[in-house]
Amino acid sequence: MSKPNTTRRHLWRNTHLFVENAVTNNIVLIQALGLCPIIAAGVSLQNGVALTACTAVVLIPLSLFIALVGNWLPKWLRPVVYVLLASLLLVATAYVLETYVSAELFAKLHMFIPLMAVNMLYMRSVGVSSIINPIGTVVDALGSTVGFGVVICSISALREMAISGTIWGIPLEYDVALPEVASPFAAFILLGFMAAVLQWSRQRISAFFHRKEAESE
Amino acid sequence: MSKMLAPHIRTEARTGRMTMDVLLAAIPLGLFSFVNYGMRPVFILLLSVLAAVVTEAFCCMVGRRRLRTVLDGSAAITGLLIGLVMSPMVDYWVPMLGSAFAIIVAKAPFGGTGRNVFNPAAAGIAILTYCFPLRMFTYPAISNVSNLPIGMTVADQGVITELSLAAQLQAGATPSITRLQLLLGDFAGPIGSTAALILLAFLGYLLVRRTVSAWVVLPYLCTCALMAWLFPMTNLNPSYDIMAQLCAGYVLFTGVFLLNDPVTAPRFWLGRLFYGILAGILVMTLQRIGRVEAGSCFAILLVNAFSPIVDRWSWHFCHWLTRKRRIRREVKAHE
Repeated sequence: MSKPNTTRRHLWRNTHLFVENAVTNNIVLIQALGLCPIIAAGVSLQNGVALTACTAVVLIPLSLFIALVGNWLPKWLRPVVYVLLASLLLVATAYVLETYVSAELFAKLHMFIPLMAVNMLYMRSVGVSSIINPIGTVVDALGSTVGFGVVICSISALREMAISGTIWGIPLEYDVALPEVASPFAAFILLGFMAAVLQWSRQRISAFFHRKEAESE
Repeated sequence: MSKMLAPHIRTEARTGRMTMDVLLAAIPLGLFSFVNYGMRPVFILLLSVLAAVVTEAFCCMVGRRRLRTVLDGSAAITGLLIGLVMSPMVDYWVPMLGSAFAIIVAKAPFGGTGRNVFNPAAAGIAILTYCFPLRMFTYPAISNVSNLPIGMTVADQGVITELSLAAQLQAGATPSITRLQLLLGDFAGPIGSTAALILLAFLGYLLVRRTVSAWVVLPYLCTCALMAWLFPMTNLNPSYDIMAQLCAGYVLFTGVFLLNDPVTAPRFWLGRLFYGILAGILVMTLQRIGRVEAGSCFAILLVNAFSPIVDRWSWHFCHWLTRKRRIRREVKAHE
């Protein structure tokens, strides 16, 4: 049985956690993790969505596992177990992607999936230990995924529009093609502008959620 | 404790007189290309400058900076420099795109005039070189052209094109341009970077007016000449070879304009010396082995990145030397 006040507090706390991971402490734009897949593979919206899905599939179960079982394991064993679990999830994801979704897509992305998993592992091993409850962990992982997904999807959509004038393979009605945008510099410039906009608004968003959380207590 | 040079915030921007001095380059170089190609290059220069100024005004409005900084001419210089390295037969939108990119990406996000880390003109030229090498490096043959058509595009109007000097050198061909033609700029090439005599005279004017510092330009030119002498690109007479290599591509143009931007160049004399030498080595290397025929804009961007470090280290080095000397003198006096 929970009082309405407690529910509201939890709601605000989890929303804050989500927003913190998705926006104000964005995994790509602030922590600069997972840059490589965005710069190299983020050239079409399909790639972006596929990589986001892979992230979600690896990150959320891994975080849940760490939150539930992590504290029971001896400290020396934790890294080994985490890495093994991440690799297992990764292999499964890669298998599903290749067999059931699209072998073509997998051929494009197979380089970047392990790279991403390493990024995620690094982030988890740093961040999760402070969050105890499983719901918080899932919210946290979801926020990271959404943060990563929004950045990679917007960048790859923009680049796809510039490269071939299509979006998700559907041609748009204009005649501009800039194949050079597929090279890394365009992604770096876009990331720079996105990071600048985020830095500009970050303080305000953070302050708003801090205030709401404090009010609800 | 003496004062240190600020490593990244450079408040010393061009003053009005200095900007006017550089903008004066539009007159001789514009006239030169007008005589050679008709009105088209003049329109290219004008549109490029216009695009840069309009973009700068837009960026100032978005960033809520004073619009007065638009009128100081630094944006116009960026546009002018980008226009000057265009091929005379380029489409009008190419230099405009370059100017807009230079202001929006390489200048405004860093804080506008006086705070940019990289030379905006070099960034604009670099992006155009990277994205449209064909449009940038297709030059009309100068002997067959009196007036280029001034429509939007000249691609399919029967203009005879010719390999530029830089492309000939890079391909290992023996250029058939006489020394006099080299000096006068009487060969196929960009609007404003072929006329060696005009560029050198203008450089002299800027040096006399103290708008540019001899500590950057002279080491740069000497290094370029030395590199050309050490690594010849033709089998011809070495003096001709050095001349051809210095006149090819943007080598002279870089020395006169791109390198001397007071915002991105070091401010200490020794730092300027090293900066010039480094730029010379990089420019000549890229000219020789680069993927495109004129890669000096990439060289400038690279040395710009090193500029603060070069400035600080050379300052510390000099400081260390003088202190050592002073201590030695004091010790001697004590003895």
